Amino acid sequence: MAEKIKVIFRRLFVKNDADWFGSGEFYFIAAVDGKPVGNRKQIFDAREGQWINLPAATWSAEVDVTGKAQVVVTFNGMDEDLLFDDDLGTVGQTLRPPWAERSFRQDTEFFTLEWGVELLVDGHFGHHPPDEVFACRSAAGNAACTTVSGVPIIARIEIHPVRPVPAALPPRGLPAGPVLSVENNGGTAIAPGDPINVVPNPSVIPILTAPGGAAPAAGAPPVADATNAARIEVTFYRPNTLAFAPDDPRLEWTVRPIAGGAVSFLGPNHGLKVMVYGTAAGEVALELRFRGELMSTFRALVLGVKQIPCRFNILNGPNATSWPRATPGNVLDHLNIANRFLRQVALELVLDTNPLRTNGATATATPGIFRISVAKGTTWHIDSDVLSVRATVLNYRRDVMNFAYIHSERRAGIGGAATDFPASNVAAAPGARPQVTDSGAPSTSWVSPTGVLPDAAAGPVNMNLISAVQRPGHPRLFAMFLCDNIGDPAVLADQRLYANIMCHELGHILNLGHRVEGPDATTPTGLVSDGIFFDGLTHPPTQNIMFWGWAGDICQDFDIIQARAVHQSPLVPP
Amino acid sequence: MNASVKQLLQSLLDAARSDEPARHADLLKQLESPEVLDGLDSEEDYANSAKFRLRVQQVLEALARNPAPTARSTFLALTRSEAFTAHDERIMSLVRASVSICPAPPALVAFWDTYSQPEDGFTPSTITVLIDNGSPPALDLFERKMADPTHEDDDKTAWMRTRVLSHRNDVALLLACERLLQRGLPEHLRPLLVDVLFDYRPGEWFRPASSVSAPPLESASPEALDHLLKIGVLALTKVRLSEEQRSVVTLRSQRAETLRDQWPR
Repeated sequence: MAEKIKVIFRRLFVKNDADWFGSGEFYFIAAVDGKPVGNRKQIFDAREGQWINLPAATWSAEVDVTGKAQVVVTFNGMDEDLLFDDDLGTVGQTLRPPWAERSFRQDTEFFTLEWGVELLVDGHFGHHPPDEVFACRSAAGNAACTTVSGVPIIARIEIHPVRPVPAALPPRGLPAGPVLSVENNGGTAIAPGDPINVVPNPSVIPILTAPGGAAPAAGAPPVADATNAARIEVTFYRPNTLAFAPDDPRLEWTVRPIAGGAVSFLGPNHGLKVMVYGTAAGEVALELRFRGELMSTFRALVLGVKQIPCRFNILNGPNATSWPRATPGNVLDHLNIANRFLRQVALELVLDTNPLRTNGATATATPGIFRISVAKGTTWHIDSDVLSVRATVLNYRRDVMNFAYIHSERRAGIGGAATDFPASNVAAAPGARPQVTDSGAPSTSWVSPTGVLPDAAAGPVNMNLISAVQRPGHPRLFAMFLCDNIGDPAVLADQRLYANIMCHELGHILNLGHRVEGPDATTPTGLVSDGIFFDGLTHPPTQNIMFWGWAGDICQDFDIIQARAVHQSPLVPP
Repeated sequence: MNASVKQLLQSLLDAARSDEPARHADLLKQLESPEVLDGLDSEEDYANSAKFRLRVQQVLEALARNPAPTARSTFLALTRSEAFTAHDERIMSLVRASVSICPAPPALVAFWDTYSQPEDGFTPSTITVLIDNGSPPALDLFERKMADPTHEDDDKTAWMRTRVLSHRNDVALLLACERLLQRGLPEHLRPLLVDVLFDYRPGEWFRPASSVSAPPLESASPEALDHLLKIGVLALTKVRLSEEQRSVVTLRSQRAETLRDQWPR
């Protein structure tokens, strides 16, 4: 982007008109960057103690300073006389980068000249706030910028794909020193009634129907709007003096298609936050520019949202003390929160409308949610280590995700568990675990090296999937349980945990392993279960929904490589 | 926790830890009083007991750890108390706390037996307590449960792959396993027990949500190594094993032999 300054000779104060009698007849010879400015034939009546205003249209010059090392400004005053014109002296300045908005007042014996320099910012010259950035140049992922006041700053903008943003970040290459930044790095406190797109920076941008046309045909994606398009947000910028607004015109987003992916903006394509929706499956990079310089890139897949049919069975023991506390209404709340997490990978759990009931299940007012009376041992302090967990097979249908809400597991630390799931459709050699690979920059979850400058270029990232866990005779059973060990199913804070565990265990059912695995010094790998449930990646440390431990509300993220994997599950429709 | 509940809990804990018979007698009276029990754990506490243990369990644990004879008899009296056992969660608290009572007296074994019946909801926890307790009477009951055909094979398999696995260096448990392999354990389950003692197959035995570690062979005592070697011989000669299983048993036996030989005699 061209950098331009404007030199304006504004007015001149006559200290001495240089004539014995009457006023002087001044004319001026000015040059900016070697080119004449103004009109040397224009004679001004110069009266001592008075100002001569110089018409701006004539007495100013714009200079493209892109790449220039200096701009010389000269202004020479002359007094016209009959025989010889008198030289009133010359003022001037050699301007050098950093270019700055400045005002000058310079004197000779005969006059005082006021002139100034203005910078072209956002398409216009004139007065700008001193912290406004005039020009930027990319430098190893950052931007060396100059403010209107000529102060050099190093600007950086990041769009981290993980929310909450992990503390461990790739090198930023920023100079040391106390420069304040603005961070938008928190998680999302989801409520069941929030818009489905409430979690920002998803790994998948959903394909939706463009607004403004005919109503979508049956089975077509819904029309994109503010409640369903993907929210992409800047997570960090510095310095804070840039003071970007949510719809700041200085920040311009563009789309770079990858592998056939295409997205459109819903609303403006500028600012700290934008909304996009997919129009063609594949992958895209959303590039964010400031003053024309590429500052940050956000990479995402573009996929249609796939619906997973599911049914819920609330298993009541013989008396009230062995009934799970969750009501069908609570279950819906948990499902709704879970779907807001799952939106990140373009999945949605939808209640099974098939009324088929088995194992004595009774319908509730909500189709897809049932109650079943069971023996105490099937719902109360159960042992989920058995191969065939009785609770989770009840009232199931093939290829429909089966959730059992039970009273409790024998260990307080277990709030739920995936009990049955077939292998992924990802091919693997006999005895080997399937593996999914993601390549591109930035890397998935910003796994090191991230490809986010000044970090090294991103390489391919490989993730191991977990093998099937199946009881005999039920090859198409997808099942898990949740229980009161999690907490009060009606309290929002606990509902988030229910939804979080629902998503974590569903992740296993979709063949995802643990992101970071727990330590176990007794196994050869030093990992719990000798690492067989470990996905092989150790970043982010706790923010991924598949984090091995019970980290609660911080685990909110699914990343691109996980999105690639879950869409290969036999539970997910093609 | 409000001040009065805190005070009540503290006074009950003090009594449970005391060595004065009179205080134990008084504790029994209090723990049979609905007013005291309701004051200690509210209805809401019972509703939340799947997540947070009841306060009464702290009292029971203190009592179970107290070696004084009257403390022991008070604990056992509670296992028979109609008032105290009126709530299943209090029975569960008794089961869990009883792990500390070693060796287990017959009355406690009878209590455990009552609360380890098929589909009763207590069994998984009771079996854990039997193995963790590890005293001969506890393990004798465990053997009986393993031989009891009313308990499903699936349950027994889980008991072996989790509870037995985590204690597989314990001499008393190894002796019990030896007996189970000789008699008592249904024949088709014997190879599974051999697997648990000689192998570690998390991918087959566990789910991602829960996993159990096996103590390293290197931490086994010479006596435990001796018993493991005996079981190895028994497994190779009397149990129907696949070639792969035989090879695993042989390998681990060789390792056990090496480790045993390293111990000073």
